[in-house]
Amino acid sequence: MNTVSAVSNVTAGPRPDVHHLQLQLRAVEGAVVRVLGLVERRGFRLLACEAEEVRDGGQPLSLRVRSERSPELLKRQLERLHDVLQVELKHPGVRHHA
Amino acid sequence: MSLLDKREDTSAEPLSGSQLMIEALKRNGVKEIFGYPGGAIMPLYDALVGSGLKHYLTRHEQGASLAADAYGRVTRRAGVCMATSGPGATNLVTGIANAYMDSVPMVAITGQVASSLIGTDAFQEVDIFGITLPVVKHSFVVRDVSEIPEIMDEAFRIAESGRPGPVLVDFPKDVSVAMHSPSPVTRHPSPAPQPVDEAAIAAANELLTKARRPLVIAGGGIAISDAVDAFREFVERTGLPVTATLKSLGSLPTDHERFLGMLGMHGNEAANHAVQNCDLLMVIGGRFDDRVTGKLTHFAPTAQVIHMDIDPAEVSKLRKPDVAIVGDLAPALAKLGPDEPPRASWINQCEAWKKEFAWRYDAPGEGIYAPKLLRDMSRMRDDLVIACDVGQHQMWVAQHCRFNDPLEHLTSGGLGTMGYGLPAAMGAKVAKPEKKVVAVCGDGSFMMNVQELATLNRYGIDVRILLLNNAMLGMVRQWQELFFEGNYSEVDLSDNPDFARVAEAFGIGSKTIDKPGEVGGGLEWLLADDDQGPRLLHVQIDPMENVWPLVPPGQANHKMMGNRS
Repeated sequence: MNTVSAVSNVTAGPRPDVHHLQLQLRAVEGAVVRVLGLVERRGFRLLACEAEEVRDGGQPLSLRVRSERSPELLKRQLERLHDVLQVELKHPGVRHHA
Repeated sequence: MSLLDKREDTSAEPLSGSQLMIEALKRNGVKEIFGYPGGAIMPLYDALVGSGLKHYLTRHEQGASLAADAYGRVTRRAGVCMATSGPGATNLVTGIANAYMDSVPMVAITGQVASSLIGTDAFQEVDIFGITLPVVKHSFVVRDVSEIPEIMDEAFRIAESGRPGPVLVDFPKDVSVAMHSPSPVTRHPSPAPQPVDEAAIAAANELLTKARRPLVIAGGGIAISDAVDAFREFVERTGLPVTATLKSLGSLPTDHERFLGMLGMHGNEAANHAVQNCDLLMVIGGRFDDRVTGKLTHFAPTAQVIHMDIDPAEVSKLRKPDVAIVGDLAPALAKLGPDEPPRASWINQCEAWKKEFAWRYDAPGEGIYAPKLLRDMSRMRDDLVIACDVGQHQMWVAQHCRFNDPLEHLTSGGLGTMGYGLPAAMGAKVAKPEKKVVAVCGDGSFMMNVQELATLNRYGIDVRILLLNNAMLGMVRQWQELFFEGNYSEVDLSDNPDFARVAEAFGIGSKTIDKPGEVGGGLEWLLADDDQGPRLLHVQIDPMENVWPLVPPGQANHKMMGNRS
């Protein structure tokens, strides 16, 4: 599978403030950068990002992020982006500040 | 019949991208546009001639985007602005961000260099799509002429639906001149409204029934979602006391017996005391802005919270509610209410606070007292729409003017954009010519978009300007006085121009007053029903006057400073 990935030099262990999000985007101009910008603007450190090959007009995107802030809130903020079709919070951790 | 309709009927010749853009604007109900031409957008301006769309040439692109913002607020339809690439586009950005922060529907069209030049640092090329990503609800780059009808329909749908916001459409020059035979436009039906969450309604009603000291915070979403009537019916039916955010002033008439005034940093003390002492807080279309809450952990410390909003991303962003009702406000409000009216002891307490902290206007001093002037002005007529700049006068308007409808008060709440008042008043007057529109400006703010006096004069847009001149950046000076030990830094504007002469130079009539005895006559002249067009009343006020009361930054709302009421 062809992938484009970026990984920061921050070590991400099994910490409660580290979260994994799986997104499905419209494969349109700006969709990925819009998501990444929102993630950082809303106070989440991007630890890893993997964009899989576009298929069926959709762009799968996997993110690992770190923050004390609520990942559920980040999920809702991502879901209101027009080009975001689906967000799944795969490893929500245990410390949620809803 | 539009060009597009003709083409569909007769299979006429193809249309240019610019003609398709004009047709899309008309199809989406646009009648007026604010903008400024330039190189990359010249084909669109070429197509504009004879199109039937009324274009208002502002004298700076920021004036165009702020006018479109106000147009969008008062009509609840997307205001439209357009500008060329590069600096034209970047000059729109403040207005776009202003609309984003206050959830205002807007469509902004920017010219762009030709597709082949994008990414080459071409003349007047800037990545406006990238620059505006954080401050738009959505954005498009039109890459192919065939996409124009669908993109534009989608732009308006996104801007105006759900929680409204600005949408940017970047329009490369080659696309604007490319020819295309459009297919008949398919209008996508609006999605069906979400059903009201009955379980949340039941849980909220249980809290309302159990509450001993319930209080409502009316937020800006009430006006945005056209829920004013439903909200007023709810208040009349339940008898709950109400306070309002800056953007919701007028959701309940200022003189309503249950209305405690604005809450927050410069709110009325009655409202802030009620919030701090209530045991149930019902936030309707609000977002717990820091200017509303003060120190968040001390905000409404004894209250359970019901939070109503159409945007699920607002729920639990800053304060976790006990019950969240996500969706359109009006149908939910119709289903809400306690079994019994609120306890008399709580209502009596709220009324006692309201009486204790009622505004007073017996200010010492020889000069004109701006709060009293504003109170007097707003009580001279019932049909005023007041657009504000940002600063001390903005808070005085919020505190002392009477509003019977939230659309009568246009203020830059989220972004706090100095220079908003004049172009906003212009946009509102274009949208609602039957209204008496007043721009209340500070001297610092006024100078930021003073060039729009030329726009008023060119089109005879009958905006009345009340310029409160304290020769100072008053709010910054007040904070330096209170929180920086009086170390005044770059706030002196005593070398302001003679504003009356400035107005005259733009062809706008003017008067200057500086004595309390001149206020009545000045206001009558300002608001007169005559055909003399726009005018400016220049009012000189005390440079050292402060806005009271004030919650110091980082403090709880009940720790207000400087109560002179």
